[in-house]
Amino acid sequence: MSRFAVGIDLGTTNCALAWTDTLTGTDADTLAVETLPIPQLVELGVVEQRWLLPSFLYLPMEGELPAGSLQLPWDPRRDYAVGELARQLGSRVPTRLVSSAKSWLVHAGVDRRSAILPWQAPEGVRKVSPLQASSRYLQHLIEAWQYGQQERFAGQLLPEQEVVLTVPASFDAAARDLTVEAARAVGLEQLTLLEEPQAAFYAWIHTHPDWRKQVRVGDCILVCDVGGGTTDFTLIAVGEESGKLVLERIAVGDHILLGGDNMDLALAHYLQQKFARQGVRLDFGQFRQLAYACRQAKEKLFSDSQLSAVPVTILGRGSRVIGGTLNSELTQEELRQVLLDGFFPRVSFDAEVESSAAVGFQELGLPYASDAAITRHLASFLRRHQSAIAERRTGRDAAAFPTAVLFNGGVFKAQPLVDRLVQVLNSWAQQLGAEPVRVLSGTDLDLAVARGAACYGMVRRGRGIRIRGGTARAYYIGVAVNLPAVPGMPPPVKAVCVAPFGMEEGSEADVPGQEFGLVVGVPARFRFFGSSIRRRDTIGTVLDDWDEQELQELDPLEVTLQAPGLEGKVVPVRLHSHVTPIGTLELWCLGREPEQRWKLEFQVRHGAEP
Amino acid sequence: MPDGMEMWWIVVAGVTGLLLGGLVGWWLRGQRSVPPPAPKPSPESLRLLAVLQREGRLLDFLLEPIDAYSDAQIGAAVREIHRKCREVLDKVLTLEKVLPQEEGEPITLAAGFDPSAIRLSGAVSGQPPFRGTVKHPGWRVREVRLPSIPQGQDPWVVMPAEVEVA
Repeated sequence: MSRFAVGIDLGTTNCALAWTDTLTGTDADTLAVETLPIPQLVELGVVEQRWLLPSFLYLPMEGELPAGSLQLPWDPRRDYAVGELARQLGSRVPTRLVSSAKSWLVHAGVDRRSAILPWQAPEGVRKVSPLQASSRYLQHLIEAWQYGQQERFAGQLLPEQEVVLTVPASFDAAARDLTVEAARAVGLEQLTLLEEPQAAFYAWIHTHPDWRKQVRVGDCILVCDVGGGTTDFTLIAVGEESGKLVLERIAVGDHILLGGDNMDLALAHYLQQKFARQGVRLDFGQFRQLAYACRQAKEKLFSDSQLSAVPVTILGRGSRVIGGTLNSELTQEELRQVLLDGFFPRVSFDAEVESSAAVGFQELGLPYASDAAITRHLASFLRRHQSAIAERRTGRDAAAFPTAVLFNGGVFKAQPLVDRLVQVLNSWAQQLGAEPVRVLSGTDLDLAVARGAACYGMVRRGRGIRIRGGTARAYYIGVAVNLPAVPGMPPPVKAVCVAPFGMEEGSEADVPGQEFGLVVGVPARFRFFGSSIRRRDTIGTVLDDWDEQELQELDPLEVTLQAPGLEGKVVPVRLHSHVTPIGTLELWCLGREPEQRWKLEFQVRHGAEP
Repeated sequence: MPDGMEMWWIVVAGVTGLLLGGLVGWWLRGQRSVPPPAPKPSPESLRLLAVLQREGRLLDFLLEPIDAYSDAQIGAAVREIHRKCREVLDKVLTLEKVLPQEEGEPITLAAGFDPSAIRLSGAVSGQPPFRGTVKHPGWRVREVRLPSIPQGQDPWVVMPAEVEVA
């Protein structure tokens, strides 16, 4: 057991680190959780401490910046920047900026271990892989821990501590694996993964010592986590076992690449069009200023509903600062139209997610959500998991609808967005004959995930209540059906469940049934599927047929049997699955001899076609 | 002119004075008949100007000929420049008033006041205590949090040129 329990939020747009010192207390409720101030470059040659490390990496050309202007107190030779300065530099030179590395980590269409970022950067630009970019953010946190506050950590290094690293609940097995790989690459070995919405809930528990009075048995809590780049939904049920409260994560949503950054960008594009109507075309640098001005205008308007409009000014870019100034304004009405109606429209409970509408504010390359309406994604999520909710709801008013909601993510600092989402939820509650939802509040929207992760580090040591969960999906591999081939038709495939929904960390099981004959030395590839909806399938369940909504195809799995002397021979194997204590899924092929064990690898090194 | 603009000019005047005072003093010392060895002017005194320019475009504003612009156009830009320069001041300086009294309030000055902190005007005669009215409460810098010159930065460049590569 390490002295410190550390939580790291490796976010799409910001990272944060929180920790607790196990020597300072014993009671989970009173244990102090602290956030690490992160020294980072904020301007060329200027290092300051911030609570958040923006998840941006800037890779300058040689000679582009003054010599030594990227140096850190602990590294005089650094030739790249992460954090606040990287974001600033990248807004001027986007082709050298790596952003949203985490979204690339879960993007099955690319090879995530090869140097592809910055995406579509021209020839000659330094590049890194999504994995390396994630590692560099973690590396910076390791250094900030070591050099920022030496005296507090008694000379102990971060890799010597037990670290809880958060991932979106919607991350699939391969993305979780890659996250662990990125952490191990910089020496973080004592790792556990935790779903971000759960972390937010742990933080809420920690900030409310009386939390048991705020929830009831039979409650179902919706955690709605809208970060900079992703939207993540989770349902947590409150139950009872032998007189004690039990928390269980009963459902998670799919990966939705949609977040606060899209909202700010949508606002900037809206104002850009407004300028265009005045006959003004903004250049790249002016648009950058506009995006910044929009964010400030938004915050001002949202914090004061009496304000009908605020001016938006773009100062002249050259030395003619006044002559070149452009003016417009953003009205309360427009803000509500773009953000509330654009991202949180009032829709009915049966609203379908729209897949056609191409959204004009996407970064190239990433598969952004095609429907910007978070409320439609939420309705779809809640509908799909109605039966799971119904199972847990008890009491007289047992409608299959959440009873409470916890918001997380910087987006919800804007009270009008919270209010709108609550209104929409309550309109659905009414439609279903359920009680209005209660709002659980009082967490730090930016830091709750890191803080909750540190709390979970203590929960793992037996201090505090644990949310039961296990795997957030059921996993299946595709097995070709032995039928005569029909020309032009792919052979039919059955799906065999290799890990059921909710398989606990640290558990393992044989997949009953089928034995496969694999050729030694020849790569074998399996199609791989995940489902967040099929909750009742057990290990070994065979599906002959399924709905595409139910089972999502993931990266294929690959294995090459290495058995010296048996090259070319067919070896019969059966499958064995293991959810590691870290929280990753491993699938093994076991032969009939004890030494015959081969691990199935997530096939993240895509060639062309899977 | 609106009140905001007046405030703004006071701030501009104050800051510019602060900056130029050092340079002028250095120049004056150079004019004496028996010149002491001329100290090399320190670019440290330019740091505040560089930060105000970078964040608030102060130098561009002061150097731009503005006669041809309408008041509305100047007003719109100045609001923005004012806000940004004010943010810089709040960040790098702790300013306080020399006198606690508000403008227009009566005051009695006892003997031994610091004439560099309190300047008398009007019918000044006789001995303290002096009774009068505060016309300007004055500004005093309590603390300076100006970052040192960044590594690799030519300290005489207070605003780098910008070239957009096509």
